Amino acid sequence: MLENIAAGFMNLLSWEMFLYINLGVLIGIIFGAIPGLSGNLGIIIFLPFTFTMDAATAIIFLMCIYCGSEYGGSVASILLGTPGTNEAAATLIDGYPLAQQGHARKALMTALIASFTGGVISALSLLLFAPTLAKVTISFGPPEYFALAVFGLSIIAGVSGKSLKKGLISGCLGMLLAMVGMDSISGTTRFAFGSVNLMRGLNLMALITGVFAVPNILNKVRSWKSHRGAEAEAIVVEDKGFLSRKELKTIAPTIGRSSLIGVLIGAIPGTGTAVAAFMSYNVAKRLSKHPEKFGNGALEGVAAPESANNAVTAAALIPLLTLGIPGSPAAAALIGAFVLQGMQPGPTLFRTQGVIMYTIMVGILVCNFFMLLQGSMLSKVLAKVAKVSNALLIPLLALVCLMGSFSIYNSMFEMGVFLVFGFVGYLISKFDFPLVPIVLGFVLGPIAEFNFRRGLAMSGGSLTIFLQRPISVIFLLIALAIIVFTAYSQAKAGQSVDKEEETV
Amino acid sequence: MKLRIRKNLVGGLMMAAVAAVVLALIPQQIQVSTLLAEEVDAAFMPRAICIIILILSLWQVVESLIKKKDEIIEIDLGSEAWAIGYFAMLVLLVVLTGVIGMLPASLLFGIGTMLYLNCKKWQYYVVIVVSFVLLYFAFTQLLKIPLPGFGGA
Repeated sequence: MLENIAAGFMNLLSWEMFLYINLGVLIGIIFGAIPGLSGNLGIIIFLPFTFTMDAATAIIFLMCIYCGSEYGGSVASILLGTPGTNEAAATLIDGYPLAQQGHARKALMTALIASFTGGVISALSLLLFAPTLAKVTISFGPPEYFALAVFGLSIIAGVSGKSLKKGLISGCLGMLLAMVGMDSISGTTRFAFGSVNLMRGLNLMALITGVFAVPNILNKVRSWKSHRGAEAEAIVVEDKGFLSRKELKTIAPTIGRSSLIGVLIGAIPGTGTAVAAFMSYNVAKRLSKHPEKFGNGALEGVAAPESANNAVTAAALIPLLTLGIPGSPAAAALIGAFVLQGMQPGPTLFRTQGVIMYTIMVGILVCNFFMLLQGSMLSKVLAKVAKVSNALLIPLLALVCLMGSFSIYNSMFEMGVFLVFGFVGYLISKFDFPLVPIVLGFVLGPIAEFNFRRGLAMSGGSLTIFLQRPISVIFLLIALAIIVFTAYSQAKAGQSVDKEEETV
Repeated sequence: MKLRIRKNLVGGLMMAAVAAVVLALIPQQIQVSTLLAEEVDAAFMPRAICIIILILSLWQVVESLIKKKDEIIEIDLGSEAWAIGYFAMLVLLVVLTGVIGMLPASLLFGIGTMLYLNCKKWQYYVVIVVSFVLLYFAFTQLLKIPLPGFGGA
């Protein structure tokens, strides 16, 4: 293992890698700092720029965007009072009051140190656990792969928001879209309508870009109209006010604890960064000697969510790299990058691309050090970046996405796919159908179908093959438990809402 | 003007309609070979998925109508039309790209967006034009991705 780590580190020692790591971190911080953008969107938008890179550089560059954005989200929370990303909403609770009291720099430094520590602990956990887990998954056959895909699809329950039914419908829609084109077992074309482009199947990247970016762009246009172009004012960052040794000692246990919470939450597919951030905030408040300070400007209140949300970043890759399950929206977007590089995330990845995997994992670790460096130098500039007008962002986002879609196959057809599914995404999100399950269904649906049919061919049509292998049974039972538990908790929550309405 | 919509009812009906249409299209769009002795053919999974969507959507519709489990959203038609109008501009950009090429089409789109958003600052127009030209050259020269030129070629 140490040899592989050393080999991975050696691969990082090039000026190109150094440039892309820094560029990725910078782009990520900027995307996180601008309210309404996110690391996920950053990955999607910069995916086409990785066409010409080698696999390790491409994935590290995109991961740096993700890691940087988690820290960048705190900048808007602290200086604008508007969370740059969803998960940074927890940082706002104490970060903005601190800035209003004239401690903006202290709050930003706390967020940076916490993000750095969380990121490093997360990267180390990825290095430690991913290869070990990958060894277990190497002996999987069609029944296990099918059960694994079903387990992955059950994650839809975790990313469905208020309604499991709507999440499942979105997931099924994604699976259906993945079936357009040539069937990989029989060679039959499905839903091609006589079009050569459709026979090739829908492209994952055009679909992801459309589904996530178009609703984001159109919502920005709508909000521009509603708010008549009014935008938030930023608090000025003073040069003075670095953290004292006493303050560092106060936040250290919170950072350590929250980082571990972030790693645990991140490694569980479908839980999300926002859950980790709010859970850590809650734990920090409960265990603090001064819980009354929380909400009024406690440094621990900034440190807890920031260390947790950065601790999710690398840990979220554990299920992706070892099982092929994208456990977070960013991981789902990263699948596009792996596929572009001709790699299929999952149990075989460490066997076939071992050195690249270690390079990526060491790269993620290194990226956190550059994030610390850039964050400490850029805090004053970031206040201005966070104020970039939507009038500039809207056309820029639209154009980069369209150019990116075109560049997949150098074809106008993919631009059409981007627009069509972008509009579908915008329309169905109006009715609260979540968008992440579409991507999960699109990625995992074909794996489930292929291995289901192969499994049945092996057993001569008997479904019992999926219940004869222990690993397969375990994954199916976990999937069932997740769905039943989510349905039960949603039904219970619905009942209590009904009761409250009756009493009112 | 505002439109009041029952989210679960309309969403459920919309998805049920999609599933029904796809289900009806399956015999025509998936020609299963009778020569292959498959346990499960290529039409099995799409059909199963459509049935699942249909069941879940109708369940949602029933819950909305009988159990009154629904949420009403107010859609501001003015701002919605504004967003849809911008989407139409994106479609126009793609159409124009095929006719006059990516760079001129995108410049028209950029300036069109500024006008559409009623942007008064002339500096923003300059920033957009310069950024679009830089983006075009970043794709074509640095990344070597051949974007459509004049005449869409």
